Order: sequence, then C-alpha cells, then structure tokens
Amino acid sequence: MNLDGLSFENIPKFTTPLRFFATAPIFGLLASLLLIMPDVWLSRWQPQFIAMTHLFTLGFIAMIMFGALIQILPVLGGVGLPNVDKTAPIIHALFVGGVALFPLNFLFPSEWSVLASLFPLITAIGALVVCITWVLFKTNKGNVSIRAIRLALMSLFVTVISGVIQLSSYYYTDAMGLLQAVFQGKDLTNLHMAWGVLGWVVILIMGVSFQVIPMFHVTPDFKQGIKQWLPAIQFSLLVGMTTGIMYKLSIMVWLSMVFTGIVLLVYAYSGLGLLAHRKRKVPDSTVNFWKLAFSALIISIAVFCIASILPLIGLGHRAAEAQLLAVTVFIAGFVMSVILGMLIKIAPFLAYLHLQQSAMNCFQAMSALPNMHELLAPNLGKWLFKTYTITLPVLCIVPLVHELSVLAGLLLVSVFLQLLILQWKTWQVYNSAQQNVDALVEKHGVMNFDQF
Amino acid sequence: MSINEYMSNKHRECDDVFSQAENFVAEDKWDEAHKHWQQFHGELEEHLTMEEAVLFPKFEQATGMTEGPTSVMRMEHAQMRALCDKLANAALAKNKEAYLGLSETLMILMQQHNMKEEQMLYPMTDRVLGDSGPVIQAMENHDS
Ligand SMILES: [Fe+2]
Repeated sequence: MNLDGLSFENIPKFTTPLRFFATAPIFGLLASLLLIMPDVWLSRWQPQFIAMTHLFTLGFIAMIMFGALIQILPVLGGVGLPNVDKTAPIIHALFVGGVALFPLNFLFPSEWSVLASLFPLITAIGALVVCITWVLFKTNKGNVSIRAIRLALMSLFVTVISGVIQLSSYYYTDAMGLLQAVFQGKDLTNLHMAWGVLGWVVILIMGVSFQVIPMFHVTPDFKQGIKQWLPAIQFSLLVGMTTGIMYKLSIMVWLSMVFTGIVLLVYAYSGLGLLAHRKRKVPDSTVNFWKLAFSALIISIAVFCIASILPLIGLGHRAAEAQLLAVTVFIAGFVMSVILGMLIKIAPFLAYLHLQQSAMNCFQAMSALPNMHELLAPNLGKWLFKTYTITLPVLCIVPLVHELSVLAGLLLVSVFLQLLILQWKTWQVYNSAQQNVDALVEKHGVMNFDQF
Repeated sequence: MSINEYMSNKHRECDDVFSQAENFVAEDKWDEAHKHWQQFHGELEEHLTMEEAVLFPKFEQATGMTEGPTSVMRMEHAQMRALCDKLANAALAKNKEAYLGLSETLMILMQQHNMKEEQMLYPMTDRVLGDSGPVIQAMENHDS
C-alpha cells in the first residue's frame, strides 16, 4: 500500500491558481474585442475568426482549466504537481506568451509566427500534461474523477497534435505530406475540434462535476454507472469517430456522432436531475449557472440534430449556419456557464482556505476570518449571472444575424470585466484579512489543540 | 458494512439536518432554524468526537502515522468547531446575513473535509484494520 501518497498539505499557494484565473478574463476581453471589430464576418473573416476562437478556447477556457487542475489534483488524488509554486508560474508565463502570440498565425501568418507561438505553447502544455500524468500515475486510487482527468488529458494531447499538424502543414509540406494524405480537407480541423471540445473540455467537466456538484450543492450523487462509464464511452466514441474519418467509413462517423449526442443528453439530464433534488434551498448563482449549462447542452444537441436534417428537406444551404449555431450554444451556453459558475465559487473558497491555513492554531485569528460571502458578495455573482443570461442569447444569434456581433462583443466585454472586478475584490479582502491574521497570530501566538 | 460506508452515511445525515436549518434561516423561520441548527451541532460534535476518540487512534496504531493525515483531520475539526461557534452566535442573534455567509463557508469546508475522509482516510482505515465490525461497535458505544 502506498502511504506516501497521503499528504493533504500539498496545496498550492493562493497566487498559483489565481494567476491562471486572473489572466483568463484578459484573453476573454481580447477575444470579445476581435468580435466587435467590423470585418469579422466579411471576406477575410476566417483568419480573424480562428484567432478569436483560439484566444477564447486557449486563453480563457484552457487557462482556467489548467488553473483548476493544478488546484484540484492534491485534493482529489492526494498528490500535487512537483514543486507546484515554482513550476506552475513558469508554465503559466509560457502559456500566456504562446496564447498572446498565437493570433499572429492568422492575422500576420509566417513561418516565424508558427515557431514563436507554438514553441512556448507546446512547452507549457507539454510540461503540464507530463507533470499531471506523472502525478496521476503516482496516486494509488483509480477514483472516477482521476480516471476522467486522465482521459481528458489524452484528448488534449490529440487536440494539440492535430492542431500543430495543421499549422505546420502550411510551411513544412514535405514532412507533413504523409499525414495529409490520410486526412482530407476539413477532416483534420473537425478532428481537432472534436477532440478539443468533446474530449478535453467535456470529459474534464464531467469528471470534475461528478465530484463538485454533490459536494458544493449537497445534491444526491451521480449514479454509479454514469460516473463509471460516461467519460470512457465518450472517449471511445471519439476514437470511433477518428477511425471512421481516417478509413472513410461514414456510417461509423455517423454512429459515433449519434451516440455522442445520447451520452451528452444522459449527462445533461442526470445533472439537471441532481440539481432538482438539491437539499439546500438558499439561492446560489453557481447552481443557476449549472442549470443554464445543462439546459444549453440539451438545446445545442437539438440544434445539431436540426442541422443534420436540413439537407434532407432541401435546406442544405443553411446547414453550415445551423452547425455554427449548435457549436456556439455548446461553447457559450454549456462550457462558458460551467466555468463562470465554478469561478465565483472557487476563488472565494481558495482565499478562505489559505487564510485559514495561516490562522491555524490561533483562536483569535480564526474567529477574525472573513466568511465566503464577505470574500465575494453574493450580489456580484447574481449580477454576473443576470448579465450572462442576456449575453448568451445575443451571442447565439450572431452566427445567423451578423449585425449583432458588436452588441454581443460589448456584452461579453462586460462579463469579462465583471470577472476581473470580482476577483480583484476577493483579492483585496483576502489581502487585508491576511494582514489582520498575521498581526493576530503575532500578538496572541498559537495554542495547542491537544489541550481540549 | 465497511467503515467507509458507515461513516459516509453519517456525513450525509449531518448534511441533511444542516441544509434544513439553513433553509429555515433563508425563510426567516428562526424557531425551526434554531431547532435544526442545534440538532446539527450536536450530531456533528458527536461525529467529530467519535473519529478523534476511536477511529483516528486505531488508524494511528495500525499505521504508526501520528503526524500524518489524522493530524490534518484533527486540525480541520478544530476549524469546523470555530466556525460552528460563530454560527451559533449568528443563530442566537437571528442575523440572517451572517448566518448564511458562515453556513456557506462551513458547508464547503465540511464537504472538502468529508471528501478527503471518504476517498482517502476511510478506505485506508478499512484496509489496515480489516474487520470493521468491532470498530463500528466501539464508535457506537462511545459516549461523547
Ligand atoms: Fe472528520
């Protein structure tokens, strides 16, 4: 038996995950500004569009997921990244650099932009994947969330590889010729998207939600079968889809897609079911975000079904638009809602956890700690949710009504600004409380709990 | 029944009463809130003492780890108790805002703590102690 794995104190400093959470909205802001720029949807829309989506998926979504992973691993698996407070900031700096340079590939493409952006990006993601995989092998338990995180990381690996192949194939045609012969046209782009969104993002959200929804919201547990099988099935369906695309077996691709839809529906319905049986009745914006997320997931699958039927009823020319709509509902409605809901819970919680660590063993300091609501006023969370319920429908109509992109961009700007302000406030309360705690510990000293 | 199952059930029972108290506070029904709060406070204290007096010593004996996980767990128990004191005051003062802020904090803290116990400590205890019957019996007989 591995008893070394049992250390609960391997928790990173507050600033370690916070630097990921705090820089993410800045990339969100940049992406929103690109959405506002007038020619996003015009003739040259494609490069700008890809730049925007990558600023958002890498700079916002992946950034936050990395921060959360670094934080959550010691709690879930009992083991953290090696020397996390030193390694994570380096990984973060490289990742920020890579993401910031990444849009150059689409706005001012050249061989140099590929090298300049891919080098830091791949180093950062590679280091993270290697470190986390190493950590996951060390943990002695095959907990359902840990297993899902493993599958999510493998999917991230495929996503990165397929993305790198596409980017480099523009410049290094000889070396990539072989791979290109296997995939045709948009195949590689589709695989890149599928592994990124349906693999890395969805499987990670699944794994984390199995743990976090019952824990933070005091709901019943997810059914054992769902926790055990859903992430693995989702992963196998992606493998099936990839095989189908490589060997041009369209029936296999089609079946994989249908079953992916079913898996996601099962997940969304069971998530909504749990939230409906929530024992705590106090209003909670994170719960609202989860409900919004699961509902959006169901809607996006419905839209995707409609998009697939359109060619059969002679409306094939609208199918691409409908697909884009489905993807937007999925990313903005499902993924983004989950992230916003988690952020407003996790930031004050981590702040509290760290204050508590430093107040440990000093009764006076412990009773001076700010509570969760003092670290983040519930009203700020409510405002964020309200703003987002207005932003989301506007954002989803943009693929159909391009004129609304300025309004959608402005609304998104306000969402990301709120995120920044909200975290800044938590940081301020945390800082002054920290000084207070240090002073009290200094004054009263620590006592021994064995006395009780 | 394994120690893990037995103790996890206890956690769920505590959560239920805790949520009921919180729901009554949110609806400004202070009489019921108070009743449930006290029930929760009693059950939680009993659970913590059971672990500290029976389960942890057995774990420490079997593994020889006295500075390890159980010391962290004891520390977290102390933190939970400190929050409970503040909650008791808020309940007495019928201060809804303070109560809900504190209950949110205690809830998350407690869930985090329970998760560590249910996923690491209890399974390990089950493995090192083997037969769970006598341990559960000892906990049930323990007077807090
Ligand atoms: Fe405990």
